[in-house]
Order: sequence, then structure tokens, then C-alpha cells
Amino acid sequence: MRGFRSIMVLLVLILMVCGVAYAHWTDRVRILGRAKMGYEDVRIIRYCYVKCCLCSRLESQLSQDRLVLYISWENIHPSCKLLVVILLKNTGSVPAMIEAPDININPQNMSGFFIVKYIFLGPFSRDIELPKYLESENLSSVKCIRRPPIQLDPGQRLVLAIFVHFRSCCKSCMEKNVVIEVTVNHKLWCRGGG
Amino acid sequence: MYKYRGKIVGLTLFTTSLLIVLTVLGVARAYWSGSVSVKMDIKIGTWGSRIVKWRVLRYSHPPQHLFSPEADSLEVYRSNLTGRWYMWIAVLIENNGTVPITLYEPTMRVLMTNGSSKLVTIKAYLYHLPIRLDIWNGDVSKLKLPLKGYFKNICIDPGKKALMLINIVFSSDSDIFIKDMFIVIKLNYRPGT
Repeated sequence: MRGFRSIMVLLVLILMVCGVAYAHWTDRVRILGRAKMGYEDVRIIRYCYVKCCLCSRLESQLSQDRLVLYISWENIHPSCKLLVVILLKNTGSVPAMIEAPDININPQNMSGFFIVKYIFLGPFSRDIELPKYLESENLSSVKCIRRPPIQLDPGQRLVLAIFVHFRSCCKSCMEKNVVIEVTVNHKLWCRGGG
Repeated sequence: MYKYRGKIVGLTLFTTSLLIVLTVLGVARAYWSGSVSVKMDIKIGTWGSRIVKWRVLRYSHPPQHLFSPEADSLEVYRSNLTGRWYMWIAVLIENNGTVPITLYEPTMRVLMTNGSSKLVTIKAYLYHLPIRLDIWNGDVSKLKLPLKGYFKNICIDPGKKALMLINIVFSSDSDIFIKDMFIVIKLNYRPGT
């Protein structure tokens, strides 16, 4: 009977030691992390324009969200030219891919009377002064020209210069209203280009 | 009908889930893309010129008719022409458009019963206003034409006027006789400076 008790006590002791040893050699490691999604955003931070003629009137307004620049250009005549320079900034937290602008001229039958060209300059990491000296005729001599798609990292700036040239001389164009819309689409930059 | 009920329910669930997935994808796509745009509302101005008044300053023989059939043209008629004939006309031109125009030497069309239109030449002298002389009312017989300070082309702002002196010369070496001659002078301008 005494031997049986000794065995039981010994067994209990062995199990306790095993439990402590098991606890010592095993553990759970938990890593707590928080993933926050970035966001993609490009805005117009500054703009300027240069018109060639004194007789035309030009008014401009930037929308509250800085996504649309409205320009009203009145009383233009053949050979009138307008240069609009806008400074885009990636105000998001992830790189953006700037695509080639879509140019729409309404009404369609007036599209032959307008020449609309654009160039991208940059991207620039610092704030820059907007170039007003650009001429549509000698674009090839301008430095820093980039062709879309362009990677625009967070905080970087990109200059978009748009040239509009009205070249018709026919009297049927007089007093017509024309809407030109230049839309720059952008999306999340992916290394694969997708 | 009862045996198709399960299929209909399955199809409805599938369509609903597809719609939800597409909606979520659309929102995600919108979140990762955007656009910046420049919208230009352009209004084209008007351009035009009109002859306000004219006066014959000098001639070898007076024209039978001189009138302006349209706002921007003058018509001269002369009959029984022979040898040499000339005429000076002063024309006051106004820019009646909303944009500046550049005025050039006028175009001319000559209609003759016989002979070549090359026998007629036209020259134009353009002046900014005002000029010191009163050529519309005063005595112009002693004026030395053309007046000094003329231009070959001139820019006129909207609502402003300019003076054009036109010299028409018919010269024929031979003794050709022209019974009737019409000369249509049309203003030649381009919008812009």
C-alpha cells in the first residue's frame, strides 16, 4: 500500500514537472498590426494663362474641389491664341499614373477651326514657377517634356500646358459658341502598368 | 412549376450577388482613379467693315455713277472712255465688328464692253484718323495727293474709323474707245491684327 502511494506521488510530481516544462518551451507569439489603405488624388494647385490679343475677354475660376478649371474666353477672332498652364499635384498618398488628356470640342463641326495642343513638364519635387513663355510653334525646344503615362509620386507636381489656336477666317463662325474640354484622367500607378 | 422553384431562387441569388460584386468593384475603381479637367467656354466675336461715306476728290472726267451697293463695296460707272482717265476717291471706313481688323488694298473687278481690264489700275492709301485736313467738306482742289503718312495696310479697332484714298487710273496707249466701264471696289480686310 505504501509503495502504491509513493508511485502516485511520484507520478503527480512527474506530471507537474512535464507541465511546467511544456509551458516553458511553448508560447504563442502575436503580432498586432494595422493596415491602412492609401488614397489616390490629383488636384490643380495653381494655374495661369496668357492670351495673345487684347480685344478678347477671359475669365477663369477654379472649382472648390480644385478638380475643374472653368475658363470663359469671349470675343475671339481668327489667329487668337491662348496658353493655359496648370500645375497638378499628387495630393494623395500613393503614386498616380497620369494619362494622356482627352480633348473634346463641341460642336463637332467647329473642331476643324481649333488647334489644341498640350505638353506635360515634370514631374517636379519642389514648387515651381509656372512657365508663361511657352510657344506652341517651338515645343520641341522646351526641356523637361514628358509623354504620358507619367508616374506622379505623392507630393510631386506636374505642369500641363494647353495651347488653343483659333484659325478659321470664315464669317459663318462669327458669334458661335464653342466648348473645349480637356480632361486628364489618372489612376493608381502600378508597376506592371495595369 | 414547383420543380423550377429552386432554380429560380438560385438564379436570383446569383444575379443579386453579381450585382453587389460589380457595385463594389465600381466603387473601388472610382476610389483609385479620377480626373482633372479644364473647361473652356469660347465665344467667337464678329468682324466686318463698312463704308460710312465717300467723296470724289479729283478726276479727269467725272464718273457717271458712284454708289455703294453693299456696305463694303463701291461701284463706279463711266462711259465713253478713251486715252487716259483717272479719279481720286476718299472713303471713310468703319470697323463695325467686335474684333480688330486689318485693312489691305481693296480688291477690284472691272467690267468693260471691250478692251482689257488690265488697262485699269487701282492704288489705295490708308490713314489713321484723325487727320488735320477736312476732306469731307472743304476745298480739296489744291490738295497734293496722295497725302503724306499713308500705310499699305492698317489696323482698325472695333468702332473706329480709317480713311482710304483710292486712285483709279485708266490708261490706254492706243486709241481704244470704251463705251461702258464698271469698276467694283470691294474692301479687303482680315480679322485680327
